[in-house]
Amino acid sequence: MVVKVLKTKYILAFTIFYGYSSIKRGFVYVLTYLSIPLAELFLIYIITHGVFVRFAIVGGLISVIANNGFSSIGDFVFLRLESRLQDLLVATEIGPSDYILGLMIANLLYSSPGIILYIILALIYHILTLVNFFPFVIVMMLLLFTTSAIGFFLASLVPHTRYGWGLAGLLSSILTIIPPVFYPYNFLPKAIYLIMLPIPTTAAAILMQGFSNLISVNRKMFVLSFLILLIESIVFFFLSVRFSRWREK
Amino acid sequence: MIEAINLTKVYKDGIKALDNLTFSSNARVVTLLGRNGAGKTTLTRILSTQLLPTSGLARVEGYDVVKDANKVRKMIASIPQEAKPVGIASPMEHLVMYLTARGFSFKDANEVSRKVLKEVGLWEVKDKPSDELSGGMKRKIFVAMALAANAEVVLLDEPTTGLDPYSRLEVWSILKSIKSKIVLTTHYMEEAQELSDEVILLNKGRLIAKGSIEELLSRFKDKVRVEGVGDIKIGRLRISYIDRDKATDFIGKYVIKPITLEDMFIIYGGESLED
Repeated sequence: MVVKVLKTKYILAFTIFYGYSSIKRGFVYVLTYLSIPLAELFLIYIITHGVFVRFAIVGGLISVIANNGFSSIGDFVFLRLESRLQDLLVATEIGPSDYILGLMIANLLYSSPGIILYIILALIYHILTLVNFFPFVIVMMLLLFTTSAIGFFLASLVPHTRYGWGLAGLLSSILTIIPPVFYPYNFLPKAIYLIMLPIPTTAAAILMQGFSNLISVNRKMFVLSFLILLIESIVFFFLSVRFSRWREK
Repeated sequence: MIEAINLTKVYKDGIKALDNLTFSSNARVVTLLGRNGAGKTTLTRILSTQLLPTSGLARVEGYDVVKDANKVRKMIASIPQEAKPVGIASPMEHLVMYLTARGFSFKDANEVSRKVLKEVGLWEVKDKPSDELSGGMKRKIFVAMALAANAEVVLLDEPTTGLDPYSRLEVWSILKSIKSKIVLTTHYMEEAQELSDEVILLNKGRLIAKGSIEELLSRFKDKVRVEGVGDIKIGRLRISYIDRDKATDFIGKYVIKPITLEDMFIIYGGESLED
């Protein structure tokens, strides 16, 4: 039903238009996506003498996915204010949900070299197994959905292009470095990690650190983190479709 | 047919872009003329369902742009002012993406895109990233989209701004070949003269004049333009409009010219262009 309502042909065409063309013609950006998580992985490896490298790999995967969503703020702002592509598309048969999904999947394709690299590392370090593969994928998809929806919603509030990429970078840095993405979540006092739990990267990190047996996560925490991520993905997507700037008022 | 009934748009900052505008037009090519801030782009965006009006009614082919937005969207193609192609994507990728957004299948979108890219002279560069194309070619991508859409009504907001005369002529020839009704916004008088069946002149969001160019010019058939003297100031230029039979007093002292569409723009603008 959902697939029928969504303009799947358009979403695929937009993925080729914005994602595949970026890989084909702008590979340096793909490397940029990879550079920060890889630098963090290297740093953690050196500082902890390799002890926390498995956390860094899980964190890198979360970071690539979350950066993908948050950096879409810059894309959405650019396409609305600079290239005027959003205006062009508003006057067609597609709706904001098609538009968000189109850009989300295009960016996913665009950052796929990074994701593949981290998946290979996760396999080498026995973080990713047949048992936790599907839970991993579900958490990643929810995280991507949530961060992309947040991206579109915030982008529609940005009045000038010059703020778009800045805000994207700021959110990416803050929300992937401060929360327990690259380190065990229980390094933080309980009160702090519970406060941070609504941040989608925190919930995703707790789930993935638990699924990969890097740390023991109790059932209550699992359920709570999963529900937060699930509810956020639905609520933020609804908010972004319903309240963000598609047809201008 | 495009219609506006008491159409008003007031932006958040209090600027009234359209002020109780009422008109209808069934011309094949209707051109919106007016100075910057006259309300042309606001009107185009409302008709394109991109912007909601504050009050009043706007219809495209009988459909309300607010209540029947989805039906309007099926029958229009709208190219925004200053639209720029995405640098990493090729002309072909732009067209296919746009046509699928309009409901074309992949097969049809590819087929139509190929045909149109040949027609507009972009075939040789169809797979090149757009940021490697000239300004004229970049603009032609959007004209190609309008052509490929095969929409009943095409809305083009300043489609030739920034183009050299040769590219402009190319775009004009493409626009002439489009079978759809066209709502055109332009600052170029010669463009309006070349393409329009009807002109709508706006000033401060209000309708100033409407009619074919011949009709509008015929209202001033007894007047001439005198340059070098007069109350209307455009930069250092002074202009006045006088009765043709009084022009003999000015011969030899000032430049006397027949009235053109540019003069209509100045006269109906209502004030000096410097203001």
